[in-house]
Amino acid sequence: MSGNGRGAVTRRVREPNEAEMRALGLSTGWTVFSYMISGLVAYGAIGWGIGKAIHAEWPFPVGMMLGLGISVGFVIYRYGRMGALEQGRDGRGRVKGMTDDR
Amino acid sequence: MSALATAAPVVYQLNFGALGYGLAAIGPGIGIGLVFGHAIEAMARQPEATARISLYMWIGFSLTEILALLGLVVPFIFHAA
Amino acid sequence: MIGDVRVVADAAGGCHLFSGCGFPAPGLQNFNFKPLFSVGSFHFTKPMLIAVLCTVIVIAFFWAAFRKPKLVPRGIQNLGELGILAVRDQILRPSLGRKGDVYLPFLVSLFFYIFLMNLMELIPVFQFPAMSRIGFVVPLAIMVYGLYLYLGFKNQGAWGYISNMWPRGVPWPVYIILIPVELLRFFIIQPFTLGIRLFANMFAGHLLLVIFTVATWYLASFTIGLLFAVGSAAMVLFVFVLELLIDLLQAFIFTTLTATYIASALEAQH
Repeated sequence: MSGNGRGAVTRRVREPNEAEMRALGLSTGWTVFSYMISGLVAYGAIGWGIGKAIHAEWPFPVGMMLGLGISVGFVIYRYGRMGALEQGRDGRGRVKGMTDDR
Repeated sequence: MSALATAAPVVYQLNFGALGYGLAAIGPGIGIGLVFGHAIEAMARQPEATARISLYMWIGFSLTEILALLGLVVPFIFHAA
Repeated sequence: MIGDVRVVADAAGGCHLFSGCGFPAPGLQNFNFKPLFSVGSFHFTKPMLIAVLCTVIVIAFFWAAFRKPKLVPRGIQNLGELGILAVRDQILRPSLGRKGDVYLPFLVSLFFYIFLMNLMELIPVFQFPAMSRIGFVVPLAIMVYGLYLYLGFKNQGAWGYISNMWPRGVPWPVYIILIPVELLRFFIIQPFTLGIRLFANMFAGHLLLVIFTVATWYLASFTIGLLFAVGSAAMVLFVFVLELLIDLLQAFIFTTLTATYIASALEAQH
């Protein structure tokens, strides 16, 4: 870690190497896929529960479509911004694991 | 039993929902292949743009995948209940 | 009917094309095995033998390689070091960094165990990927799942871990909408896909190999079928090479994702 003159400490950030990019890409891919599936299943289950409660069949597919839409919207939001891949989950631009003191 | 099943003289227990999903997965399969193929080519041409390219790659993937997942949902929508 | 025995008997008994018997289609029955021996109601079958054998081989290999480790490696230590360094640099360091070297033994064992179990699909006497029985995949997935949950809760506290994994910077109504999705994804879908990915790949690969191999034998009658038998044999070769690639790839993916989940569990609080 290097320091500037006023006693504050700056961190140097290096570019991710090939293996890191590969691991990041792999985990991102499967995370996106898991979001798609779990959006479908979660809101499908909620819709099915509602359908059971009101004795109707239609909330189940409606819930599934809604969940699909929600998950796709979230994926676009989470991964559709500049530098989204390198950000941590808090979306604040903290670069995960790419600092020099690791 | 659906009309198709009653009309066919020899029909085994065909699950049309599963058949429908199988057919519905053809298009998104090709589409996802295209998305990733072009993304890989773009990353190979310009490695420094990898991060930006992969952003759009994941968005494209999710939008294409939604069509395949809709194939899972549609049998329930058109369920003759 | 136990698939292995019946298929071999049909084929050995001359059940070829136009012989009168139909194609002995491989199916789920090919994944059930007659027990090699039974102790009471505990049946010891071929997949279990494969699993035990793989464990013994992996343990024996690394034990022999590092019994008396020298600074300048000789002989089998070279090979062992190659394996460990490959896992460390390609799988562990990208996700976890230097601090993650504590998990190296676990990841090395995981990688080589899965890889060897998958390779058993192609080795002549065994020819069965034990990971195509879901019962061999579930303990691995549960182990990884338990590990990263435990590490996350220990490192960041239960509430801290869960709140760290939720997306920030979204308006709070969207937050509420995302809760079921995020909970389901994190606690159920993620470990489920981890296991299912390995299982489905090995299941499909074994089924492919069996189909083309049985088809080659079935078509090998002295009729026009011989021509198609050659085509089927070519497919067997192609699927063989494909399965080599897939075995390595699935072991690599499983281990890399394990490292990623551990890394996200160990993420220091900002």
